Amino acid sequence: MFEKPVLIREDGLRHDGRRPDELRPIKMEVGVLYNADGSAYVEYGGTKVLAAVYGPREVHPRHLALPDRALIRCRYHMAPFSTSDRKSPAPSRREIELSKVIREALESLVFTDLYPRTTIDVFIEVLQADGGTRTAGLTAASLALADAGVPMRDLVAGVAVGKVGGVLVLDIDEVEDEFGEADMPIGYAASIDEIVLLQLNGVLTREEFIEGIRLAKKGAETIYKMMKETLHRKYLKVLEEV
Amino acid sequence: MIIVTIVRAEKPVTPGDIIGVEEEYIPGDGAYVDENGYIRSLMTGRAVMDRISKIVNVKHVKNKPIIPRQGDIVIGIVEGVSNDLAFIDIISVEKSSGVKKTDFSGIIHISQASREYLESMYDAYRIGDIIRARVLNNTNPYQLSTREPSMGVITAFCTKCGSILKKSDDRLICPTCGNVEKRKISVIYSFR
Repeated sequence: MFEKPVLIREDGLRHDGRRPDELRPIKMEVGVLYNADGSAYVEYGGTKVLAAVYGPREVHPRHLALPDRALIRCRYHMAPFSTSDRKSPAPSRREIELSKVIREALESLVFTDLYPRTTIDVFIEVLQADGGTRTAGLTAASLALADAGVPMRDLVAGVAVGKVGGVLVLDIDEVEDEFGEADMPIGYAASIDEIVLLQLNGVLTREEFIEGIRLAKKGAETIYKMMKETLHRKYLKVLEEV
Repeated sequence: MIIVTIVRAEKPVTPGDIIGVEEEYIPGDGAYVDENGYIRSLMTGRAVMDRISKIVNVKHVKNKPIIPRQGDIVIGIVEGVSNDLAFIDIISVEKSSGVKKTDFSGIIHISQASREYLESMYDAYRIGDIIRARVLNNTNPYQLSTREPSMGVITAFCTKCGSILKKSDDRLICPTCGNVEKRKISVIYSFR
């Protein structure tokens, strides 16, 4: 990728043929891992993410335990084979930051005070990166928590909005992220109408920001519906038949 | 006279789903009230609405998370013994849905070990013993009790040679070296 590709074609579509407000094809599955208490696998186009949740369980080392609530530990990690150049498996500065923002997003939703002196461990592993890994990771983590039966106020769907060639676009991929003007990942809990994660890389005007949030909420709602459907398909279909 | 025909209503829910409003029900386990007065689910599972007690509970589809609760019976391994305490590594919990694997730690105080007078905890438990106990509280580390007859050691090992002790009457005898040991023996001791 040395040359800037055409990001917005003459017909108004994006470089991969999507409309500006169109999501990539999304695939989700829950309960994919046997050993974890909860797990989920999420695909946003070429981005493939696996999440596993353990707990609430005893905290080791002990001194980290909080006397009034559960501790949430989150590890966002990109597999060495997830990018075109090998990524060092050691946690980078970027991964540590993303672990923190995802942890804080989940902390605002999970009822931690029900399980004092325990820990809830969330592991997010990026298997293939093609833009929007933190938002796919957040979606997967939320599904895995729901699978593990961790009490949470709402599910959260992550989606990124970007500004590419002067146009606001939904769910940007690697190419658009690299050559675009702005990238704004958002974590949105649709039922309770709360934004739990918001970052902005690049420059947006006030109007573009408001429009971007509106676009992201619309996209996140679609993903949110798919998440509910995934949980229904896996667990609740049996209950409905009875 | 009002005849309530539907006593319980059930519906499948996922986290964030609206179950009812504050005026209708009291949120029980797995439900909460948001700032707008709606009762929402905390889990993926079945919302059970009791029309008489007006309580709505949500049960997780797989009865997760598996955590020992007050009154539950647990199986554990003695990890350490001091003069008045025994430290237990809880390995499983007996829930209504079956015996489930967990990993928490528990403590037995000498006053909760047996109905009889104990000189020291070493007369009741030794390192490596497998025990059955009842949980007394809801916070980690869990306080355990083995005062009931069915609670106590279910498998014990000889402190001299390490082989499994056999129960005869109310004593434990080592079949290999003939050593006689004192324990708080459960009535369901595995080897006799």
